[in-house]
Amino acid sequence: MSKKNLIILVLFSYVQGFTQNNFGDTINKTTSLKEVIICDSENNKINEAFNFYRSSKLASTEDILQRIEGVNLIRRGAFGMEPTLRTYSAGQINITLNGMKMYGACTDKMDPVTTYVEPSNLSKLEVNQGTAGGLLGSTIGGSLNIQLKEASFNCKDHPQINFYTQYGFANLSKNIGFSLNTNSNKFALRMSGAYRKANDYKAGGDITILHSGYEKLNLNFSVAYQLNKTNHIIFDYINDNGSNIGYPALPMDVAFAKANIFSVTHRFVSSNYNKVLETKFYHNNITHAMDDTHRLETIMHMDMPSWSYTNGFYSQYKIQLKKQLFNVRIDAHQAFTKAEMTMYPNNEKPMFMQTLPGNFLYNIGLAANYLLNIDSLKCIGFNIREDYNYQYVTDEFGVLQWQGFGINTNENKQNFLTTSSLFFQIKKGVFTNKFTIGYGQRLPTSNERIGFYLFNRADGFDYIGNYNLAPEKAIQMEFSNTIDKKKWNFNTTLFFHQIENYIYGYILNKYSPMTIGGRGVKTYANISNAQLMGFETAATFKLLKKIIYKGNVRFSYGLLSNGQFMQQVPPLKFVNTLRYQKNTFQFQIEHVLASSQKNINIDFGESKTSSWQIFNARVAFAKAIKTSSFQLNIGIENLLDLNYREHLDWGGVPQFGRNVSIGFNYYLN
Amino acid sequence: MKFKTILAITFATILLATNACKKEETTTVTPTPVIVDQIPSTYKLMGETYILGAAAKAKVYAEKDFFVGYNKIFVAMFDSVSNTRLTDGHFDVIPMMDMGMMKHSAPVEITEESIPSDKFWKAAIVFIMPSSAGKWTLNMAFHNHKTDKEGEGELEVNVINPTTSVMKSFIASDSTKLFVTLIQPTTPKIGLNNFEISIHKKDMMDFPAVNDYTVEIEPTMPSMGHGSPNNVNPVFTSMGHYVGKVNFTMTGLWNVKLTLKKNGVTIDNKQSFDITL
Repeated sequence: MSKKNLIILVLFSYVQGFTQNNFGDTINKTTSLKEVIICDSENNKINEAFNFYRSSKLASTEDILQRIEGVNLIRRGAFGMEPTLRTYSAGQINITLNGMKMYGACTDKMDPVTTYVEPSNLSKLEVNQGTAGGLLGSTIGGSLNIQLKEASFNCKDHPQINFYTQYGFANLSKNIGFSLNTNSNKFALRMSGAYRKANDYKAGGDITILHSGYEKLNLNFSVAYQLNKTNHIIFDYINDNGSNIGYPALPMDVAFAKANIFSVTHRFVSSNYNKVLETKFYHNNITHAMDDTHRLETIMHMDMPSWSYTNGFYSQYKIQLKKQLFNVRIDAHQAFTKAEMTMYPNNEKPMFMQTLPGNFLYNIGLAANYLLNIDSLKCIGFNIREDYNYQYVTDEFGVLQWQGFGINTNENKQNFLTTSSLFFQIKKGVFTNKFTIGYGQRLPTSNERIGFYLFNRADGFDYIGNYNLAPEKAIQMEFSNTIDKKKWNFNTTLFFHQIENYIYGYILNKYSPMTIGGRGVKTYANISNAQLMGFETAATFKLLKKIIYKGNVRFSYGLLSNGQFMQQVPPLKFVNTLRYQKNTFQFQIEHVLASSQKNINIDFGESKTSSWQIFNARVAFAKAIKTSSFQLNIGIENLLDLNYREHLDWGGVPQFGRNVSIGFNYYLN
Repeated sequence: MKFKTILAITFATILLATNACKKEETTTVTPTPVIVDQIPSTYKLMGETYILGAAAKAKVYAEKDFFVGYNKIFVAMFDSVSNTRLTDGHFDVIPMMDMGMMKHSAPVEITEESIPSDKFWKAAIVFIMPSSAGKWTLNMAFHNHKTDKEGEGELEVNVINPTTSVMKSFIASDSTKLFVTLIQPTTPKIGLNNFEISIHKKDMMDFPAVNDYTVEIEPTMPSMGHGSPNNVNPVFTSMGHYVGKVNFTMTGLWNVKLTLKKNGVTIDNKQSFDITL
C-alpha cells in the first residue's frame, strides 16, 4: 500500500482502515461478511453515509446521526439529544449499544443511550427503519444499534495510538481524547479516554444561551483474549461521567450522570467465516441527578435523582450459505428503573414522591431473520421476533402512591409482542426495487405506564401514567428504488405506516398539577389510529474526479385519528454536502435546509417553525510520516450566523450560531 | 383372614386419625384463655380511682396522653376487695371541665357499656380544651352486676394541646356551635388513607352528635398549591362520625379543607386540618 493511499484511507475512515484492511484478523472479518449478500443493502448504505460524515471529524455522535437520512434529533440543549427514526422516538424505537439493552435513567429523557458514547469509539451504526429493526427488540419505529470499537488483534509490534483535541469557539468547548490498541498473540487491549467541557453556547446574533454548558469524561476499556483461532472472549467496560450539564429547554439541569457499562462476549467465528456465534452477558447502571440550583426561576429547591440498572444477555448465531443468510437470536434482560423527587419548602417537612416508582421490567425475546438470493437479481428476506415482557412496581411506596388512584401496580403487566417484516428485492439493470411490508408492536414505556406527575416542558402538563395501556402496533409498507450508475447513485424510499392504539397524552380534568406553574395533568391513552407517511432520498454524485456530492432529503407527514397532526414531526429537510478531495487535502461545504413546519400538534404545545438554511464549511489537511499521521481540521458551522431553531428543538431555544472549530489528530498506525 | 386384617387396619387408621384430630383441637383451644387479664402493651394507664358504692376500682387506659381531640378510653374494673377483674357491669362516663367560674362537659361516646368482650369498657371523649384552661375530670358511674351495687368515681386527668390541631370548634353560619374532630388518619401514609371526622354540636349543656350533614373534603399542599385526585367525601356512619378517603400523592404538609352542608346549604367552609406525612 502506497503512502498516498494510506493517507486517504486515514482521512476517509481511519477506523474502518484499522478494522477491515489493516487488521486482517478473524474478529473483524465478521463485519464485512454481510456485504456478500446483495439484498442487505440497507445498512451498507447507512454505513457508507456514516463513514462519510464521520471522516469530517464531527464533534459528537449526534452530529453524525443527524446527517443520516431518516434520523432526526429532539434537542433540549447542547448535549444529550434524543435520536428519532422518522418521527418515532423513545419507546417506539430500540436503541442498543453493542446489542445491549440500556434504559436512560432520566424521566425527562435527558440521557438517551447515545450520550454515553464518544464518537471516537464508534465503529458502526446500524440503523433499521420500522419493523425491519426487529432483530434486536420489539419495535414499530426501528432500531439504532451503536457498535463500539473493541480490542483487536493485528501483526504489528507496536501499539496503535490516536490522540485528538478539538476547540470550539461558540461555546469555548474543549474536547481532548486518546485511544490505544495493543496486542500480543493471545491478548489485545484497547483503551480510550475522552474529556469534553463546554461553556454556554452562543446562538446566531451573539445571543448567549444560558445553562447550555456541560462537562464529561468517558473512559473505555476493552480486552480480548484469543482462546484459539476461532474463539475469542472480549471484556468491555465503559465509564461515563457527565457533570453540570445544562438543558436550556428544560426547567432543570443535570448535576451528574454516571454510567457504568460492562459486558463479556464470547465470539466464535468459523474458519471460513460463514458461521458466527456471539454470546454476550452484560450489566449497565446509570445514576442521574437533576439540578435546579443554577436557575433563578426556581421557586422551591428540589432533588430529582434517578436510577437505571439493566442485566441481560443475548446469543446470536449467524450462518451464511451460498445463497442464504440465517440469523437467530435469543435475548433476555431485566431492568430496574426508579426516579424520585424531594422538594424542600421553608420550615416544613420535605415533600417526597416517586416520580417513577421503582419497577422491574423483564423481557425475553426470540428472533430470526432469513435472507435468500433467489438468483443474482432477486432476493427475499424475512424477519420475525416474539417478545414476552412483564413489568411491575416493586417499591411499596410507589405501589401505595398508585393505590391512591385505585390501580394496583404491584400486579404484573404481561405482554406478548410480535415484530415482523418481509421484503422482496429485484434488480433490473441499474434499478433496484425493494418492497417491504411489516407488522410490529411496541411496549408502552415505564413513563407511559407508571410515571407519576412527570412534568413535560413542551406542553406544560404533568403526566401520570396509564397502567392499562395497550401496546402500540403498526402495519408498515415501504417501497425503495435505487439507481446505481458508475458516477452516481440515487435512492428513494417511500413509506406508509398505519399505527393502531397510538399512545397519546390526554388532559385529565379536575386534576391539579404537581409542578408549580403547570397547566394541568395529562395521562396517556390509546387512540384508535394514526398514519405516518413520507419519503427519504439520498444521492451521491462523483462530479469530477476529486469532487463528491452527497445529499439527502427527508420528509414525514403524520396524522392522528382525532384530527390532529402527529407531534414532533420534522419538516422537509435537505442535507447537501460537496466535498473536494485532493491527496491529503479535503474541503467540504455543507448546506442544510429545512422548510417551515405548520403541521403542528397543539395538544403537545408545539408552535410553528419557520424555514431556515445554514451553510457549513470544513477543511482538513493531513500529513503522514512513516507510520504516523497528523490531521488538522478547521470547521465553520452556521457560516452566516443565522438565529434559527429546528422544529424538534424544545422550548424555542435557538441553535448554535457561527461556530469555528479547530481540531488536531495524531495517529500512530 | 385377609379381609379381617384389612378391616382391622382400617379401624386402627380411623381411630388414630380421630385421635389425631382431637389432639389438634385441644392444642388450638388452650391459648385463648391465657390473655384474660392482660393489658395490651399499646394501652397506657392514665389513672385509677375507686367507684365508691360499687365495690369496684377503675383503671383508665388510653392509647396516648389525653389531648384536645378524639381520645379513646379503655376502662378495666376490679373488685375492690379481691382485686380480681370484673367482667359484668354497666359503665358510663361524663367528662367535666371545671373552669372555676363555670363547668362544662364535652362530647362523649360510650362504645361498650355492658359485659365487654375483652373486659374493657370503652368510650371516646372529645376533649375540647386543654387542662391549662381548668381541671378535667372523668366522672364515671358503674353498676357492678356481681354485687349488684352502683356507685360513682372521679378521676382527674391532664389534657394537652397537640402540636397540630385535630379539633376545631367554631360557630357555623346557622349559629350552631360545632366541634369537628379529626379521627383518622392517625398515622398518614402515601396514597389512599381513611379520612374520618366526628361532628358534635353544643346544645345547652349537652354535646349531641350531628348526624345529618354532608361533608366535602379538598386536600391541598399549601406550599405548592396543588391538590390530589381520587378523594372520597366522608359520609355519615354512626354517632356523628363521617368516613371517607383522602389521597396523598406525596409526603409533606397537606391541608384538608372541609365544607359542611346542612340540607344542601353550606354552613361552613372555613375549617381545615393540617396533616403531615
